[in-house]
Amino acid sequence: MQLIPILIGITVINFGIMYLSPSDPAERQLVLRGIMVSPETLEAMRADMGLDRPFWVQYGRWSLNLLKGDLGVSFASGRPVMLEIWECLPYTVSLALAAVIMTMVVSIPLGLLAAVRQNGVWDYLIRVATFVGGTMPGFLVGLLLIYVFALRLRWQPVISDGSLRSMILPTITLALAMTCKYIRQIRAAILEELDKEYVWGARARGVKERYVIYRNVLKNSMLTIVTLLGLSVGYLLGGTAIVEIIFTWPGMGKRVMEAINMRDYPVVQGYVIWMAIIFVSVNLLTDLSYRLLNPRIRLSDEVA
Amino acid sequence: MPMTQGLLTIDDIRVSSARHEIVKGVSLSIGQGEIYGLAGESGCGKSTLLKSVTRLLPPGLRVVGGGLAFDGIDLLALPPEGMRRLRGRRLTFVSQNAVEALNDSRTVGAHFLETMRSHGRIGRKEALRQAAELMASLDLSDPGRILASYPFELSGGMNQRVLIALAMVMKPDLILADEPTSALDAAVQAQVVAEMMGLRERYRAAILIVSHNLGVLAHMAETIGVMYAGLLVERGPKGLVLGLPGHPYTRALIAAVPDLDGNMRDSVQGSPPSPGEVFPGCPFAPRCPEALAACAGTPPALRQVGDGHWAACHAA
Repeated sequence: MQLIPILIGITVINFGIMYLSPSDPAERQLVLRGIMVSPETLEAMRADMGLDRPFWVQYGRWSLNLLKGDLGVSFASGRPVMLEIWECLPYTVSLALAAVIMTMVVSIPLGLLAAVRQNGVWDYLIRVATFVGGTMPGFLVGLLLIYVFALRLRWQPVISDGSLRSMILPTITLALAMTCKYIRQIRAAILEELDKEYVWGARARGVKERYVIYRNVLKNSMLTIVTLLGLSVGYLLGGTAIVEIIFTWPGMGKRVMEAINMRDYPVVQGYVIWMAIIFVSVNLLTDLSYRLLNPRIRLSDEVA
Repeated sequence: MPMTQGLLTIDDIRVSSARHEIVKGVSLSIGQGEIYGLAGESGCGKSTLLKSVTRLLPPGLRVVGGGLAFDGIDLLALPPEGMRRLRGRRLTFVSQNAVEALNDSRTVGAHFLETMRSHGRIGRKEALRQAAELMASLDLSDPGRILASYPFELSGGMNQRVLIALAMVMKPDLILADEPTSALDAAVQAQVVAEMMGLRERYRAAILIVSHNLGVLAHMAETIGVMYAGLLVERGPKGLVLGLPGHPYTRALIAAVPDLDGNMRDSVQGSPPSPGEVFPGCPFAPRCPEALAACAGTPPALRQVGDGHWAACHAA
């Protein structure tokens, strides 16, 4: 339950950075709304936004509103930030989820294949492919995919409209590097597991190889795999921003980049808070599933 | 050397790693229901010899010569699936470290189920019932609870018994036991040995047991073989090998058996040769208190020194 102090810390830092940033939110708001900036209007705006108050008062007001689900109003659109985020969030979450599913579906069988056929043809092919795929930066992959599938073959739209069909290329872009990394890590985890004495013991009892692999080795390696998955959520959330911009996918990453360019602080703050909440909850889920998968931890919890 | 056709016939088997030979041509034969004990210091190749029978040698090791016949089946010519069907059903293995040999994230019952289902169709309930019955005969109270437990919840002795029960569950003809009690303390050791003997009595299984502890072998085995530096240097009926040892190494091992209070007595002088060492003569000569001039020159062959009793020593 150290999650609560972590979340509080994030809000303080988040608010503090905005507070310390050199540009004046009141001025930004006036500019974005197209109001003439004069010393008088600026002063009035500052008082109106509570910017003349001390830091802790401002933070207190902001975080109380946060608890009520009020993240303020976008300087640019004048709409509540919460609403804007709720509109974009499903797109980002579905993109990230699709990437996770694709990563798992591809990397578990391939990692297993490479490990079981260690130093065989498949293993070498997979290792070379994952090396190449893993070192390509996301923006390059995205541009290449657009060039080949959208411009040359015309199988896919160049600009995503948020439909399921237009999700394919962004998902591949997001999942490729992660899939390559996972294949290697799953391969290593399974090789490590295969080396354990109980595997020899099971074989010496004539246990069928498919029982050895699927019910013993793969099951035990899932512990490592689940931990990896939890850790890469942070990468995924960051990674979506680039992909969303390349493919003009209407998710949070794209929205927040626009907000950053316009110095639309409430939107940026809202984005950071939401990412933090998601990140922390996924870590909690990882922890819980880890306990569920590992009887040693599960049982010691029950006793305690 | 004439070999009688037994249950398991090991004929001049050689096991080698990339660099050197670990088992340098060992022949022995085990009859139906016979208990054969193999003694020797660690590193003499006895475990490797035992594992070669299962054809599951550690990576890098392979059989480079000789033959393995089990009940008329040429093990070395058997396809992998045929070999798998034999393992666990007709010839089984009990290893030294039970805690490592069991999968910590699966229950004991799951281990029984996967073993029994790998060798035939059997319902879950029936399989667990048979497992529980077997465990009850191993003096394990409350077998139901043990079957539902994970290996890490059980003591070392308990795990070792589970491993023995797992090896026995298909009623095998031959049990290969690699130091099956060495990881246990003396009191538990005696009990596990007694239980193992009881089970063997019931199923009439032959046992090839490897141990550095001559005391355990003296208690269990009918026939004893002594290995040194990858070679069988003496073999024969227990009474003759322990009573009238023909090889100075055997005598040194007997002298090194701890007494009843567990005090170590004279250990064998010097240390066993490392696997790569080459000897023109007898490999034990450098450590042998009785070495003759001939010992450094020519390797001694196994010679008959008594009724069914053979030793590889120039002085014997």
